Amino acid sequence: MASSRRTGTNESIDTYHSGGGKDYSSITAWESDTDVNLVSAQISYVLECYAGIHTIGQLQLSAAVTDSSYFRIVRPAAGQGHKGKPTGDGSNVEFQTTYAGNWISNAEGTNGISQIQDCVFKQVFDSNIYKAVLSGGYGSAYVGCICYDYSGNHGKLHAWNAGTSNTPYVCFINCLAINGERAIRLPSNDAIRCYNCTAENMSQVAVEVTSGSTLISKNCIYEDESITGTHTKTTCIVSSPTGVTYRDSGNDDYHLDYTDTTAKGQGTDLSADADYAFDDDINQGVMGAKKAGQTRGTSGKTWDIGFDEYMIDSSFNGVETPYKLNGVHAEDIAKINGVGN
Amino acid sequence: MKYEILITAKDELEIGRKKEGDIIDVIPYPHIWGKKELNKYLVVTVENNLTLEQMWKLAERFIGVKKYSYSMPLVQIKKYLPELDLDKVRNESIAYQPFKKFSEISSIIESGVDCGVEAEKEKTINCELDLIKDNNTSQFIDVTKVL
Repeated sequence: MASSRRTGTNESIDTYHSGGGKDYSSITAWESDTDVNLVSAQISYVLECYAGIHTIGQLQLSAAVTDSSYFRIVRPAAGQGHKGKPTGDGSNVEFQTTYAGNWISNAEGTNGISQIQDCVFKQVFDSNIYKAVLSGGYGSAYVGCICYDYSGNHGKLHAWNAGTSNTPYVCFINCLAINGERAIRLPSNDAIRCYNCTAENMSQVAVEVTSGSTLISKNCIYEDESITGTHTKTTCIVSSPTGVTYRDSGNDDYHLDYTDTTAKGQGTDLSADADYAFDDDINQGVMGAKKAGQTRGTSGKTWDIGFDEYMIDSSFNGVETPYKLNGVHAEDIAKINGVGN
Repeated sequence: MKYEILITAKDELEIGRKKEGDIIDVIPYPHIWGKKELNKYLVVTVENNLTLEQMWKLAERFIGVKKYSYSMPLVQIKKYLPELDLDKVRNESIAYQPFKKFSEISSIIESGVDCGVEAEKEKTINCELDLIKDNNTSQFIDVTKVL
């Protein structure tokens, strides 16, 4: 089965922390140093980030020569990944900025599949023209990324964007956007593929697809949409409110609650998807999550809708709600113990 | 505000890649750099009244033939600091960062401490850097106001 976190061939790994002590303290310096012809060099450059609040300016992965084997990846180092919830306390690999413009761009060039994985992003600035927190092009992907509390006063900052006329589509897989102004805005002839993403609590509209643009969504939760272009949906929830029961949305925990019946088990199996096959969720084990190796759809379960698969913590040996242990829901015991997804 | 500017130490051969003097990043002073940055780049410390958001503009990228926005050519920096050893700057096997020292002196100047000749040298460097124009765009942000 395929992980949503693609790995490159012959990876060369550098380390990053904005506070120093690693190979790089400037993510743009790493980007600049690895902006080469990766195909002729037969190497994939990887930046493994360590947990902390990293305040940075614009980051643009662009111009390196890549293909489906050799490309660039930004991801947390082992054990440094988030657990599906923004914390703002430096326990995640979290990038923050007040940069006034399109902030993170991942558009490596034709047929590039460069990836930014499992990072948290927060951009705060007031723009009177549309700007994006994360944008991409040419088949690049953001996997397991969280955008939260991104805002200004004009309502024109959105989480996910794509460059104009870029094909293949930019992919957002297992991503979460919350407490922002818009989650997706496709202004003109743009194309995005969103699989198992969640967008909640937007001040404007969750999804805006204008004429000529295309959005393909599978297993996604959007609280609302404004569509004049094309939006193709497969087992998605688009309604305001969404009706999904989350663990604790008031505290930014958008994991599905065990009582949910709207999204849990209602998704489509994408493990053999023709365009982006994968079978893992947002806090898969490799990056240090407590749910080691969790995949979607295991043990005969059906896929969930949304960014993270519902699953009781493995320490309960598969005892799943509504079963109780000594009169207490197993799920609630997991919450008390600080475990679970 | 004080900032550290990360400047490319030498040209890369491929067309479209970074060239000597290209500004790669701007980070508030003081900053602890990574191991590879200290060997590959020159760090120049400046002080001015610009905000961090304004300073970040110096390191903006563009998609196209010219990727980097601004440049501080090393040969121009050397005009005002003749003892700057360009061979050492370009030697990736050593971490040659002469401006780190000047940054420290700069902060002492602000405190009113007389640092003698070296302090004057720092002033000279910052004054003269005002004259360095970026060679990529018609815009010029004055990043190096004197102390």
